[in-house]
Amino acid sequence: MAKAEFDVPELQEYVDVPEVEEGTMAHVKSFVVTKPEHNTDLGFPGELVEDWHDKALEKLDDLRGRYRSLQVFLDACVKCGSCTDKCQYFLSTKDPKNMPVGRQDLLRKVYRRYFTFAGKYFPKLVGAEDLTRETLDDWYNYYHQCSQCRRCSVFCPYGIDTAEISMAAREILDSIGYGQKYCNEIIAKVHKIGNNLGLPGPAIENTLEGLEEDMVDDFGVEVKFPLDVKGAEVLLVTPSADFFVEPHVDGLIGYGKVFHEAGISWTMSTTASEAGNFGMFIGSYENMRRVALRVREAALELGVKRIVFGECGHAWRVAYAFLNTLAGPFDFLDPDYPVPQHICEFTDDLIKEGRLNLDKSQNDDMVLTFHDSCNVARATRMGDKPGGQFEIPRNVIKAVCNNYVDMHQDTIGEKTFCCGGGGGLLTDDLMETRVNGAVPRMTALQNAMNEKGVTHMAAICAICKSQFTKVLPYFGMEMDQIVSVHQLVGNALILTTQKSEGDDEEQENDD
Amino acid sequence: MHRLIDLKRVAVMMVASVLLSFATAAISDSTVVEGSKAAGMDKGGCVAPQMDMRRNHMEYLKHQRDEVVHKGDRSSKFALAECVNCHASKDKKGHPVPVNAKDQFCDSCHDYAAVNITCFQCHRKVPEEK
Amino acid sequence: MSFFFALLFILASLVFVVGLTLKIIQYAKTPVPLKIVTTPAPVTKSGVVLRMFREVVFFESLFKSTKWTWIFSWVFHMALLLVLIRHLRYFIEPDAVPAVVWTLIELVQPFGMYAGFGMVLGLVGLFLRRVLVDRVRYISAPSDYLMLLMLGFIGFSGLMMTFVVHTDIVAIKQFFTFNGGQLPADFPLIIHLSLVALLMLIFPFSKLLHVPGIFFSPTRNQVDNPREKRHIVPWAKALEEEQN
Ligand code: HEM
Ligand code: HEM
Ligand code: SF4
Ligand code: SF4
Repeated sequence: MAKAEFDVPELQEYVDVPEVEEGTMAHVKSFVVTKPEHNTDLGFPGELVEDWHDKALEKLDDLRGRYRSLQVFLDACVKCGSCTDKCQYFLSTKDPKNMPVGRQDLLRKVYRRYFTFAGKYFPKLVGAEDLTRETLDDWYNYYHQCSQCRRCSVFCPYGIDTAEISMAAREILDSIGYGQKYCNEIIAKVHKIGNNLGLPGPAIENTLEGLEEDMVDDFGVEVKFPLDVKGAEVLLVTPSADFFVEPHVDGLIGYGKVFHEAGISWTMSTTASEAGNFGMFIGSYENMRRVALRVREAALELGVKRIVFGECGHAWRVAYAFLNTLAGPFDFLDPDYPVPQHICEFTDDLIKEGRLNLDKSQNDDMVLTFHDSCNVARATRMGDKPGGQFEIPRNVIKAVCNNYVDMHQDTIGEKTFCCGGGGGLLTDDLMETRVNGAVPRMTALQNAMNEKGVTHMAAICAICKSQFTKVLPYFGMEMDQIVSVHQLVGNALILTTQKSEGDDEEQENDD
Repeated sequence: MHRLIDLKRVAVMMVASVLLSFATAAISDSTVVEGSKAAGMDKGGCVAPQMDMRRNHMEYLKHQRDEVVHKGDRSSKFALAECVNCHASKDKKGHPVPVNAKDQFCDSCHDYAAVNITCFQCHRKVPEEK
Repeated sequence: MSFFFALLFILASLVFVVGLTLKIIQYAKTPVPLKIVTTPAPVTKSGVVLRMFREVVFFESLFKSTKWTWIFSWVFHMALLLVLIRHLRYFIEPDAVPAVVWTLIELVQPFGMYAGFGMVLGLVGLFLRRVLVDRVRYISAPSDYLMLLMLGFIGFSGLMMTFVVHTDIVAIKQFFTFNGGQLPADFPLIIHLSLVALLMLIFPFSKLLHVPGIFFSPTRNQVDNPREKRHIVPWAKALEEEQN
């Protein structure tokens, strides 16, 4: 059981909507950038500027002119309260500023005060307030307790997406030199080295060679994990966590086996060795674009025909929804395939074509359920039908496992709860927020364990996997209960020339 | 800057539409029709003042109906037949015109205010022949 | 009095129409640099029209959320719609529109009359919710309560006229169709009209902007096709050219 400096909430049978309790999370402040270069590398002032008040308002004005979402969302909210009980951070912290509309209002009250008629002349009447140092700190604290999961936007009658407001607020904070250490340090690393973890090329190469050796040892098959191979068919871009942490790396092994079996040449890239794009979290179009362009450059340089993304939630959002905008057009790639493709789409197609020899019983030691990652669920699609993002990963899991059940209806699909660590919160200085934010998911998982005998939860997001590995122990569960989807695929996939455990292996592999 | 230009364009459109709507047909100050008995009387001749009748005629008629149907009391002055007697006009040949015919006494306002009258599905719409 | 109301309504209409038009122009002109539709989302334009229709007519997202708010809100809005259609009779000359339209307006009359009760009932429910649910109370500013009270009193004064102390509809119509005519000096009417003018005056400056807002909400009105079709706005394009 992990130690904590805060009260770890106990899981109940249901997640009840709590009574509001003001200020319970006001003390939680993610670390601010201390090394100026973490800001300046991203094009922001190194530290909080003197005239932050005016500069912040200027930025707000600029953003509302460039983003219709921001302008409309600031105006349209009717305070109906429909979103108030939808945020995982509110449900267990009770802090009303963690209610989506409460969070939005931190920015909205300032917008109203300086940019609307009603707020200029009747501030009290419409809840408009001056921009003060306290408000600025509230922005910092509470906009860094939003995982930008978009759950609120599903239930808002106008689709008001607090994630958009959070992103704008973070961009304002960055523009006055009040950035968050975690995100900005990581983005600086990507700009410099090419991935979030700051793994240099040789380190990646080393890991991949190790994996290839393991493959030969375990299966007697030369499954390759190619890096920077020119002329390969597919460029795989995957979160850098896949290169070395459990259970992520088991997912990478799964991808490798799938490519091997499909007989499709593929490669990874040292310069685009990161699917993640934290530029989205800080709402910075410029930084997001800079990070995304590496993928385009790598694809051009390696001369690939297709781009496939590995298991990562927000990365898939940037890839699916933004990549074409940020780094397109991709007319140099094979037009027969969507750009980019998700590894689950890729594997699902192969399964449907019957090109993978799968032995489901390899996963019989587990009863599985699936955590829909928020960005995949509410900001992207897979396949060509709406909702494919729910079906395709489940189809893949069901094709490789005998025991699969879903968690409670209200906690999956478009209503899925965030793992608690998304949106740039996956840092130890936000542990209290993360553990609290995980409560609804943990509750649903626990119920599935008790009622349906679930033993493991699969996910297709590097952040979800890291977050669950860390928080499961807080709730008395095991950290290895979280698995990668392609780990399951890897387990079940029988390689064509694999050394046999039984005798009937050869026949089964006849096409 | 472009805001100002938009403002002007919108203002011009506004004024134009206001002027257009001025051009719509006017309705006279009294709705009493020519050729009816009422037309020959002065303003105080009705069963109640014009202001009152305009607002409340339907209540009076409803009230009178209840009095008659439930209590058999026919003493009220608000009898539909009397309204018709006074307010129906005659055509050129001297035949009475139904009060709910187009532009006649009842119709002129009810059509104007989009109200369907159902009274005359049962009740007579021309004066009683004496 | 008629003179005062004439001025008031000319002013209120101007503010309402100009204010709202400017807001709509502002929304329409503000770019949407990224595809941010909330998925699962329609992949075709007609699918988006259908989604928007369900949002506007059935309040689909609200329905997914809290049934109580949905019931009160939906009853209020649908009743409001009927009431407003019924009110068209004060502003439209029967001869100015096709006969079918006028027949339709006639048909709505009885429903519109009783819809007034639905409207007030819905508003009472919404008001109670605002006062009683602590989360909603927390997010409410004075204007949020006043808005409901204002609409409630508009409805109440309207119902008073419809069912208790009638007013002179024909005179009102003459007044509002610029045919001279004096406004009847009836107390409920004065309340009704003053509050309606206030409503029109604050419309473009208040949360009533949810009416145009819903149609401009990118999370609801975008087609889910980022991979199929490149989406790029001018300022992003300019940035791209500057950096390449
Ligand atoms: C396109 C037309 C409209 C749509 C789709 C729409 C939709 C909605 C929805 C979904 C809500 C949230 C639920 C609630 O809190 O009641 C709402 C609230 C509200 N609407 Fe509308 N509405 C429309 C037109 C109007 C109009 C014309 C008015 C007023 C004249 C109006 C007044 C209000 C008010 C006052 C609220 C807040 C209720 C509260 O305080 O709880 N709406 N609207
Ligand atoms: C200039 C605009 C308006 C005028 C001239 C007007 C006039 C009237 C009149 C004369 C009545 C009485 C109907 C009767 O006696 O049968 C009435 C009723 C009513 N009004 Fe208005 N009104 C206006 C705007 C509004 C608005 C904007 C609302 C809603 C927000 C509203 C809500 C109602 C309601 C609920 C009733 C009672 C039900 C009914 O008779 O339809 N009115 N109005
Ligand atoms: S986006 Fe997610 S984390 Fe942020 S306020 Fe909405 S529900 Fe909460
Ligand atoms: S659901 Fe939407 S309109 Fe309602 S309070 Fe929340 S953000 Fe505002």
